[in-house]
Amino acid sequence: MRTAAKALTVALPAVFILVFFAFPVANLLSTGLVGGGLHVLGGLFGSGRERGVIWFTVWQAAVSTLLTLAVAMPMASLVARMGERRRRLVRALVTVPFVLPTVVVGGAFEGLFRRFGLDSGALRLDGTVWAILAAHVFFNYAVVVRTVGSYWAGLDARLEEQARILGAGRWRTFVEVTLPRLRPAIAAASAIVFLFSFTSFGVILILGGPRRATIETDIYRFAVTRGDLTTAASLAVVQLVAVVGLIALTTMLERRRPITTRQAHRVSQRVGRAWLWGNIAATALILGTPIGVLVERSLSVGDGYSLRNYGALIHRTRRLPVPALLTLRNSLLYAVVATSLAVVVGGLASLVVVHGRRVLSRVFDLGLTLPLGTSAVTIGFGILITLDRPPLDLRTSWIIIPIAHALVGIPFVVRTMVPVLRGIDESLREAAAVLGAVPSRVRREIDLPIGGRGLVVGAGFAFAVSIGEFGATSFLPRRADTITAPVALFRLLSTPGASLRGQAMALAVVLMAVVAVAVVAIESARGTADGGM
Amino acid sequence: MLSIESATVRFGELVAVDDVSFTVPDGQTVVLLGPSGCGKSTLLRSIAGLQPLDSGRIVRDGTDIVALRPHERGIGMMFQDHALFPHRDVGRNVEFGLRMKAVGSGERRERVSEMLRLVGLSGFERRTVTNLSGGEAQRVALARALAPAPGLLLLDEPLGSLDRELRDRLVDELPEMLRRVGISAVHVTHDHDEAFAVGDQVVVMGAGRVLRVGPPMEVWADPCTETVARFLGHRNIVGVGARGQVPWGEISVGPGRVVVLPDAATVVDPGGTRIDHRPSFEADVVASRFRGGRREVEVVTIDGSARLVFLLVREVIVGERISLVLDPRRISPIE
Repeated sequence: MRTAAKALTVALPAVFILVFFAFPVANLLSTGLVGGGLHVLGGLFGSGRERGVIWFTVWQAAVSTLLTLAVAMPMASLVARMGERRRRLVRALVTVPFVLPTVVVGGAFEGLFRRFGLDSGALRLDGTVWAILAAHVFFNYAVVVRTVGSYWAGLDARLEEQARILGAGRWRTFVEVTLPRLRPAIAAASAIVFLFSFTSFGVILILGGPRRATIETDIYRFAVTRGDLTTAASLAVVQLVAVVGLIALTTMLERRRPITTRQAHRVSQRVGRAWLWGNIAATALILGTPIGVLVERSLSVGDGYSLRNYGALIHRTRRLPVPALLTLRNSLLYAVVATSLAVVVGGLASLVVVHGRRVLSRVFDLGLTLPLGTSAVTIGFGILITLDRPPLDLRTSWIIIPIAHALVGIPFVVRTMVPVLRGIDESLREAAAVLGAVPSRVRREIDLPIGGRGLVVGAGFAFAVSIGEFGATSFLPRRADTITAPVALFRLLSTPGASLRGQAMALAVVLMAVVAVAVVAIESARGTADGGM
Repeated sequence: MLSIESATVRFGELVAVDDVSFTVPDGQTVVLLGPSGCGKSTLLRSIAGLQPLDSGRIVRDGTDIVALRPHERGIGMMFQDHALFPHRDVGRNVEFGLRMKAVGSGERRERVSEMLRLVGLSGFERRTVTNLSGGEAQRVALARALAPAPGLLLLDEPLGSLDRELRDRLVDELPEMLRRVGISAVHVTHDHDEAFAVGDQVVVMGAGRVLRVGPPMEVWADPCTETVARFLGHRNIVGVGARGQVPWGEISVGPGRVVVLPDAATVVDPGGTRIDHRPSFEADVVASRFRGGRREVEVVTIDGSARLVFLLVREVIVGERISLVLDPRRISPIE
């Protein structure tokens, strides 16, 4: 019995990842490399346009990362010095943009530009790289604040006090004492922001305009618009290589991160009022404006404000085969299924990562982080060209959508669970054993309840990810009855016409509200469990 | 009765526990005393089953329990930092061991309140453990360990994290609570005051080996080896010549190295009557410290040959020259 349970713990996540991730992606790779693709791959680097696309992808990701760091670091420093209650509040607030569907972020920024007349003329932002960068900062602000802020809060503040007593000023203390110790967290946050910006899809599709392309959007363009699967696959190969390299680097950096930050001496330092409120105001402005404008736009109906746009969501329009509200029902259903899958697979996998033998633990750790970095488009595309024939023909089945969403959500579950499980003091398990608990009972009595909080956090992220997933979904069955809310939102946004745009804004607000509920659940469950992301 | 027979634990090259043997008679507390890193905690974990022995036996009431896993041993343990389960309240921490034994809920509730009464925390059932003070957490840990009525209790530096006052109080209360339950215990500490206060027997360890075993008074007065004497804080260790010569004169014990216990000296008037014709010697008082309610006086013999520390009844002042005689019964030879 015990060995059967153990085998299942390993086998279930392994099979899931192999069938729905590794196999499709490998198939995509071989299509890109072998099926005449090698030639195309060479052609990619020869073509001036594709070289430009690759270069643009890299530099916009790099600049997005630097900008996000610059904008978010002051808030991270404040979060580190806040009391527990305030910290939770701030963390919850900044997390809302992070889990917002990319399509909603795109829509919000487009609405913002229109509202302030930046969509045309000399100050035009719409369709420029600035729009993309701004959206990426907005989107990834939380990554830096949460990762760096939590890590910072765990550092022993007495070192700074010692430096100050020894005569270092505030700035010197920060540069010479604090910054070097923050390096692992900054590196980890930067890697994640770079990765997200590198594989950003919805934002670029909506805000970049037709001429701005990254590798990710070009994969989509070649595969879906032009039907050129070979070129698309070749691009996916380029993307995957870059991403895997980056993830390997991140994992390496994370391993060096000390785990025991529990007993840090934290003296609540006084923060200057002007600095505190200035920062809070700036954050509110950066994060709040697009959201505020989105709400305003959704209520605006030409001559005034009304709920007409929301009312329109229950009617059919020419761009959508079903009323917009029905797509929301699909999204919720898929999110529930995807979250359940992600929790089961990710939860079991976390146990293997923490308690499994060394090699197995490492393989699982890396294998389950890969989908996080693999672009959603690659996942969707891989599934599209792989699971389309017996024995597993899921091309037209709705279940493939939540499965793809679960793949994107699993890394979030694993990444929140593993630190929580690792953080459980071994002496708790020993105490339980000495009090008569058999090993399986120890897991149930100690690991599960304490890790459970992490599981809820991970589930919240998986849910939010699924609700907003756009990249992978855009490849998957597009039957009238399986269309999801973000896909519907994208279609509404990409169609000219004021009434559809108003509907789009209304749908975006509804999506945002659903996600906000998930975030509140995450933060209230978080409690003492404090995972990385 | 528990006996440890030739227990050995290796960590690679390092022999953490080296051929250690001792017994714990029923109802008694044995203290493992030694500096940090001497292997005492490792040995304790071995008794609990958390650290496998490389060789040796652990015999309880005639049966070797080495092959049993921790949850099968029926031994209670108090961990260094209490290891209270943070996700359970006080009552549910204490009842944990009972639930593992599938004890019914009514009986459990009764036993929990009985245990909390024993440790002086009646009514604490629904308190969260994260808000307990150090001393309260300590008591909850004890109640949790005792609740399933284990045959033996292991305590790993149980008072280490407490402040002085609380520590002194628990040093008094802990043996009393254990006696009331009538349980045998193995108590690990690096503090000799604590060891002497709580132990019926003291096992002094150093570098993985047993250096000295005996009742507290005996171990203190007769440490047997210089290492043990120094670890117990003895300062007056001197070499004695073949006819009892010591640097400042002569004494009536020896030859070899001896430890002069701090209560061995009495101040006498230089010209007054001698006690038992013991030789007296003169010394200058160089320091006087008030420690633990007693006056500790440091003297240097007038020829400057020895620096000794005594607990004196007579009041003396720094700079004063005094005459001292030593009680030979309070001088022990050491190796």
